[in-house]
Amino acid sequence: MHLDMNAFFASVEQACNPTLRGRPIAVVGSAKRTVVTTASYEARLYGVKTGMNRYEAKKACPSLIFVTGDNRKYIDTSVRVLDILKDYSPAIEVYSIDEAFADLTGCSALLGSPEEISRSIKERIRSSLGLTCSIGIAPNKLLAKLASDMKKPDGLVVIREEDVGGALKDLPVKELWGIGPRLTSHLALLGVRTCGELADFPASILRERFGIIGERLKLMGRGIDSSPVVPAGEEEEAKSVGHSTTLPKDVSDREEIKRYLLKLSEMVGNRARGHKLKGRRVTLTLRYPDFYTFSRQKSLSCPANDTRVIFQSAISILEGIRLKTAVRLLGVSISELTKDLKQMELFDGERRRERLLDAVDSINGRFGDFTLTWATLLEHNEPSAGVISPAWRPAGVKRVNVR
Amino acid sequence: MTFPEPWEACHSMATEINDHIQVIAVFDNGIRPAKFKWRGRTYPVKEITYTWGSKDGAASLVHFSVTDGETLFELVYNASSMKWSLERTE
Repeated sequence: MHLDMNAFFASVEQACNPTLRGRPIAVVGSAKRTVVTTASYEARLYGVKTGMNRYEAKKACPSLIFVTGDNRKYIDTSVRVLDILKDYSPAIEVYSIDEAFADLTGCSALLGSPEEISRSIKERIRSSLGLTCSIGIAPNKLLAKLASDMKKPDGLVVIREEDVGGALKDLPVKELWGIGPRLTSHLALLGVRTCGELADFPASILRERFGIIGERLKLMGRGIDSSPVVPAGEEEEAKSVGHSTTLPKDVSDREEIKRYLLKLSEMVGNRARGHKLKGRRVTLTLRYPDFYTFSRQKSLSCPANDTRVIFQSAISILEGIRLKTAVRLLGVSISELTKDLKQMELFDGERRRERLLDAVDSINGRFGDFTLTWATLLEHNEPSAGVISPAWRPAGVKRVNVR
Repeated sequence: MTFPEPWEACHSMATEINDHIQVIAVFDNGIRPAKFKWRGRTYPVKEITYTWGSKDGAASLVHFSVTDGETLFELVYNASSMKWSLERTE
């Protein structure tokens, strides 16, 4: 089963504020330059889409109401939806903040057919949260996601084993989960536009053209997907810990850029230390105003999660870059992660440094992030434009609490 | 003279308040604010439109989006300090 909350952020805001119900609204970040994160169905009728800037959205729908999002609301609501799902299956995979898969195999004897379970889930979400969702039921994740996309909002679509061929025959390949615009164009060049055509296309040519995924593409065309539902806690370990921020205005002053990098380094270091992770590689990401985005990396001699080490590496990367224009977005991350095994540091200075970081993290853990902070940041502690990443998860290192 | 950006005229008008307030609440299978006093005036809670939780450091916060029939308020209960605040109005 795949569950997709309908126009999630916008629906939560409409549930909160009765005057917004039935009206075209767009949820945007707290910073002026952030884009539309979700549009209500009323706004979508006018062509308002996720990713539009405010000017484009307003042009598409003059009566559009912008609502500044509150990520705490969405994170808590997502966790409550997952709690409902957990009452029906032990195998729940969080795909994003508003999407999840549930393996209902073996649940029917106790809880009813998948359709009955889905209706019950929809009713509980509606009555406890005032929200609607679309649910797709199918023999595998690929088809379940396709099914949930077929009827929005408030849909419940079942694709049975015997109906798969008919459902896919004339379906455009771009409707399949995992086939994006670029792959769609490449397939079109081969004359493949529908899933039926993909299923019938010679595997050898797909392999030659797309490499290792060629075989999988053919299976997708036939609606075959063997990927398991991966329950929370059993996912792959995180490969990186990072934070990025869209700046309130484009910045070319390097000192100002460095202040943002210090704040981002502290966020990365704090989260990594909280989960006892260290990274051997630091990555700096920059985006120019024309949205050209690039990253540069630096390897460390030994894994680190100390804010100062991360910051100094980011600065050293920055110093090697000749900025062509001002910068719109900055990001810092660490990767090649290892578990921080807390090996006793040899030198007293390093031990004192560890105790200092522990003390700072402990105070901030108790009284809130940045309660104790770097003096450099004191006069420049503007709130960042917090955005919930697609990699967000309800627990573990991927749970990022953004306001 | 500066003109408002085209979107500013139609932004949902939330005003940050962050005042401590006095609240009469029912604690029964959860918390339910019934009325609150802010700046000398008492407001009845006619409808709780939404609730959600968050953390501020170690403190658990419970947020209530409530209306007195005219205005939307966000009330916050800090479970550690057992204090109420009015975070914003719409």
